[in-house]
Amino acid sequence: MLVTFRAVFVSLMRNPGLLVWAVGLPLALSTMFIFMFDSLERNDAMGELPVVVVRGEGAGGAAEDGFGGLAAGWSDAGSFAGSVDDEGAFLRFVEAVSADGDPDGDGLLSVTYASSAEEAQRLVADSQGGDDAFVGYIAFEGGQPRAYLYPTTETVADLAKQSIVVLLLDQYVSRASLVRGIVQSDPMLLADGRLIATMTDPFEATERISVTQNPLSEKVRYYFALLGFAALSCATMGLTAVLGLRGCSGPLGARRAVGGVSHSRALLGTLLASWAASFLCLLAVFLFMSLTVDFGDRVLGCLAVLLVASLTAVSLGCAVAVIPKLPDSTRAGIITAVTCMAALFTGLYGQPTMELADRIARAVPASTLVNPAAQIAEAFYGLLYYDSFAPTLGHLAILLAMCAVLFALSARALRRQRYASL
Amino acid sequence: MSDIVFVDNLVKRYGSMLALDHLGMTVRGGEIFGLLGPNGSGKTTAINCILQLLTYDKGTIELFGEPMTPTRYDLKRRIGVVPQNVAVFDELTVRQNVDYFCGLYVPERARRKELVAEALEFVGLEDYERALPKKLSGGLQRRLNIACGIAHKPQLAFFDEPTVAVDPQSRASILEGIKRMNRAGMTVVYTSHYMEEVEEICSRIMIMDHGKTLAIGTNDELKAQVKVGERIRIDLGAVPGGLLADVRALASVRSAQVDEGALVVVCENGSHNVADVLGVLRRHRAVPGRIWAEPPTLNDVFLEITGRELRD
Repeated sequence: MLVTFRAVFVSLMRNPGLLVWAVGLPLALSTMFIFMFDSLERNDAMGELPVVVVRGEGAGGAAEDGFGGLAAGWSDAGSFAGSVDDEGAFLRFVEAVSADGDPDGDGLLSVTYASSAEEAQRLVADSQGGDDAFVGYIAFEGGQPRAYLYPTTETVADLAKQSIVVLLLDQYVSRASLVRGIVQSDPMLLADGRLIATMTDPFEATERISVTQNPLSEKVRYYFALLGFAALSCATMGLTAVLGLRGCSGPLGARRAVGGVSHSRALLGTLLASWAASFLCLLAVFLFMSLTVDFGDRVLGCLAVLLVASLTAVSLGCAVAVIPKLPDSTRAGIITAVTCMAALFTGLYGQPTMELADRIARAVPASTLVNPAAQIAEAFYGLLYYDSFAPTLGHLAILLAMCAVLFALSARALRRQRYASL
Repeated sequence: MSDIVFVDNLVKRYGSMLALDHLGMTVRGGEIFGLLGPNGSGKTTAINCILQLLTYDKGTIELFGEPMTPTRYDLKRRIGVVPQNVAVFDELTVRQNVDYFCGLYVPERARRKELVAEALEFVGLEDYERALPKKLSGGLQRRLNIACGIAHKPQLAFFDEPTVAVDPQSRASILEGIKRMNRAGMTVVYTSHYMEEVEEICSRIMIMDHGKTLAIGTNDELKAQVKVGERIRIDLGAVPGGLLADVRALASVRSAQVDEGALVVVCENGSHNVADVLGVLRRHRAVPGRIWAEPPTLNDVFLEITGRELRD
């Protein structure tokens, strides 16, 4: 059996046609995904917003032409009592939400200070066209902050930036209003320094949490679908290996069939070799994806899914190999069709197919159960996002059941097949 | 010697076509047994049935005195097979291929290493052991094919037309190799449609056609079965009138004809056939050019039995 294993494994791993299909194509698709999602992520990523803040005497200059005089949508808060009602309190708020003020250096604003509104306007105007153009400037006028935003091209990204600045100032004004209300109704509450600190620090009251094992990422779903596709592509290895074992496949198969090793041992060695080769190919694709995709820290779990996925692929290839009276090209066509269709219903080919796959899965849940690519993708999904291993184990159990059925059918067909094609 | 291969009443049908028609054969230990017949005569089908690669409709097959079945791996381990087409892994090197096929019979690694080295030396592929088969010439590929079949030193080896599409030098090397293996104790079943090869190496020959045994025996025994004793060919400048009739009138002459300016005479066994024919030529004042006199061939045997040439 070891002799068969070694020979079949080496022959599979040296077969350029198989490697192109089992490794080359998934790697090429993975590379395309990396470039595609990288540009999308860059567009979606919102970094610190560069703004100018007027600090000091005469901060409240009027907006000049070229700026959209914008009151940031806040209500008329009136005048504040106490420390929150002055420019100093506002500047502390600005500092708290800026990158310099955040302990992690992860603030909302990147603040440049100006001594006057005129200087702020000039800084904003001069920065336009560059990579870090100022969104606008903020001045504290008559006891209230006001944002003066530079006219934009009204792209979604620019409008989002302006909205963030406006929302930030809204938050400041609403909190100032809350403090004012406390002053008027129960001033003694302000003696609690923690309350003041909480209300003046916008990050203190909000904690970012994730309900999943790892943060959700839309793109990861595509990579899972690709792994399902890659796994099924390895079915060609099982197909080739088992075809070479059959006496009716040609002179080599006939010669192997008359060897002194029992057919079951030869078959076992062949299947193990194609499983190992498929696993290695799939592992190479997985490792390549891992360079850009965070699959979490459950490495052993990922390897277990890869092992079961490659076994599923081998069982599929084996089952197709033993269908009687089919040309080899038709067998390869069946594997290709199954792989592509399974990947389609796993959503590999873009948002529309992803939505189609979701709709079909909702309407006919059994369609996912019989789709090995979907089960492989779901097994990875469970591993990455669920605290428990139970969902992943469930999907692996379904895959193993598929393997058992396919191997049983193959064994029945392989039994006593003869070289009757002379 | 006891019988190594015993086949009796073997029938194999492909649909309505009868591929083996109650075939019987016996191969004795230590001999090179030739299966001779034209293409499509059933040689390969017979071997594939013996090796249990094909089911058959009827008949008895025994190897080494034991009934042969698809799961008789103990018998299979005593057999070597060199198929008609080169049957090796394209992705494995020469050595890896020989090692793999030897490993189907010999599990011990150390022993296998020795056998592989011997087989490579035997077929003269020591210098190519790291090469892939597709890098080898056709003749070298055939040698690899043989090495894969005999590396485990089987007691019985089947060679199914191993010299098809092989250059004369490699053919001579292959035939000499088979004779050496036979001298070392290996029983050989050799199929071919080249009568010269079969005549050269086989100790006993079975001629078959349409799945049936036509004749069986040693080379001399087979030739003795036919009435052809000698074939005489004489170049003549011109054929005088009445010459052909006088030649045909000779007692030992079975047929006479003129073929491209040459007189071709087929005679029965006799000690002075050439002298008798030359005497007729003298009487007709015909001047002979070159003269050939050949003993009968297996083609004559086949021709006499079937009425057609072996190569038809």
